[in-house]
Amino acid sequence: MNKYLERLVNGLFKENPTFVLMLGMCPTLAVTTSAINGVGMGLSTAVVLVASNVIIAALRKFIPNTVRMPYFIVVVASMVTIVQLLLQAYVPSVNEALGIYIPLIVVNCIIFGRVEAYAAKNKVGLSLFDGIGMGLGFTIALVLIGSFRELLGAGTIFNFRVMPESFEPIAMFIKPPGAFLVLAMLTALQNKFKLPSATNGSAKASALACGGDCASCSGETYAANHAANLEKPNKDKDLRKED
Amino acid sequence: MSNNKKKKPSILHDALSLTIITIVCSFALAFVFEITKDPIKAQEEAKKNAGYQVVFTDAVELTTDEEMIELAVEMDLSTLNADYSGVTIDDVIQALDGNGNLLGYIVKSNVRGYASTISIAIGYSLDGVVQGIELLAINDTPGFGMELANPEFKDRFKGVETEQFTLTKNSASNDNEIDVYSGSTVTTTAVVKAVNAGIGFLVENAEGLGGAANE
Amino acid sequence: MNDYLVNLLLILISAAFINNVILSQFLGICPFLGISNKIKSAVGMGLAVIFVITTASILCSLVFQYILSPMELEYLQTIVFIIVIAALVQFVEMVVKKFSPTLYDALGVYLPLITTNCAVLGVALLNVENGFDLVESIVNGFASALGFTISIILMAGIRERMAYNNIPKTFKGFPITLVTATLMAMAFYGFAGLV
Repeated sequence: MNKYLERLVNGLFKENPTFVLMLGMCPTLAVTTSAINGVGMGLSTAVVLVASNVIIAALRKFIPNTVRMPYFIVVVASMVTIVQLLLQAYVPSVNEALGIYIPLIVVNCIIFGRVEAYAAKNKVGLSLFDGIGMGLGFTIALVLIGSFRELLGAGTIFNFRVMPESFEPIAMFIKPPGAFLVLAMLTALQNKFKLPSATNGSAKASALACGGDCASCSGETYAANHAANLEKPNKDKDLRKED
Repeated sequence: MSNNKKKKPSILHDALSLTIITIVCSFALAFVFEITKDPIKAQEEAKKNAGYQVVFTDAVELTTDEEMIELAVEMDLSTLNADYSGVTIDDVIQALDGNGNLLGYIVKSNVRGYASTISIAIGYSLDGVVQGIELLAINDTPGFGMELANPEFKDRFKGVETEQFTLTKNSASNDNEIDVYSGSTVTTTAVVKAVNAGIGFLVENAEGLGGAANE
Repeated sequence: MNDYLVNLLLILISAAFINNVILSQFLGICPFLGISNKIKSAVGMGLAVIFVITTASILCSLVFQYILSPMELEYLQTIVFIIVIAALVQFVEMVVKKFSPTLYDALGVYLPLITTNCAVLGVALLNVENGFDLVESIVNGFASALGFTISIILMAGIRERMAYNNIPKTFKGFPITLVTATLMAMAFYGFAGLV
């Protein structure tokens, strides 16, 4: 298979960031109250991811290994701010609906994960397609979860009434508890049918510094990696302070 | 890790490369900010005006009343009525008909809700009738304070001829009584306070309003 | 003055219970699900979070009020805040390691995780969005972190007991944790009418 196409398929299905890798749980739970919010959040994240991936891949030879994290932070945060400004200017309704979760894209593990695990080691073209694949995979997942919650919680999908009039919306599904419940059911189904997912250990281990898989993260992998970093001369730490 | 072998990283080199990327990013950000500045302003203006239009549907033209704004900013509203303490007014608009005749005023008053500032636009015509209110910004408990944003609550104010609203815990019998929303006591109280202060300010200061109080 | 204190109390209750960072705002879900299998580690994480969020609230609020706002650079808040937070966490880690190895052993592993905890950045941004002054920001930061700590310790307590229960195979692990979170979120939802 074409290796660019392979990156797309990988992001959409094989390593879908939400369904398989279980990354970026916070926005997944918070903004999926409706399908339209899912689209807004998914696409904003995708744009940030694609832009950061391309920039980091292009600069990968110039980034000193010791200060790569602050480097990534600066680039990703700039991209997020640009996206936020553009949203405010041209699609204010999306910006208002998502509010604080737009700037919080900065700390979405999908972004840092992909930038560190992929873009920092691969060519611009491949990183671009990796970003598109992952971004779209995230968007589709958010839209699916959002549609499901909106359908049960309000009887509509994309604001179109789908359920018959007699259907009494189960408002809980668009309230916070509903978010947890939907995700609980989703992961239970994945367990039941032995679908690949980080939650039942059947997905392949991620190459992220934090070990990936927010769900069962106990900080151990991260701490181990972190300790390994500390063994090295403390230069990166000093620099981070100055910055 | 392999990089370490190739080249001995020096603090200077690292710091320099970080500085460069930061500067480049800052320029990119400043550039985008310059481009989006005007559209963002226009969007905010449009949203504000849309809110204003709703509270005074009869008005054809809205013009900002700079004098009144100046007065409102300087004035301590609690001198009008101790109840108004904590309310600020930062925008006053004249509502005009198609021929430029003054129909009434729109004031924007801000008050502390229970977790954030609430901004309310109040339309008040010269004959002392509330034309409508609109909540411009409210961030209180999602799903609770927000109940107040629904039309039912806002319509309680519309078309009422009064200078003061009062809160009641029993079901309201008079036009100028507002039911406290259960679960949003603080927010309801704040909204009513802001509306009263806005009207109070107009009655006291605006030309062509309030008659006796104006002399 | 009295009004101001009442206001602070409202912010405190609201941030800790009604708008609980985890159960109603979904900030910091990862550590909530990941580090909640033992009460001991939950307490450690909670304390580290309280310290970092409160300090970050103070710093970010100061930076915003005295640097960004006067220079009309509000649009840079995201990037500045994340850098401030990352630097703060690094700095705290170094200081703690140097001066109190015991404390480092207890909280050390959790500190680096906090940089990417969206609750820290989230609270700093919420402080600005709500127009809080310095004192209000501190109260909001502390209360939000307190809310985080309460939820994560409750969760850990439940999970420690659940370890002895017979859970259907399908629900073992992640799903049952999420179902627990659902029930907790419902319980906390009851606080909503409080104020």
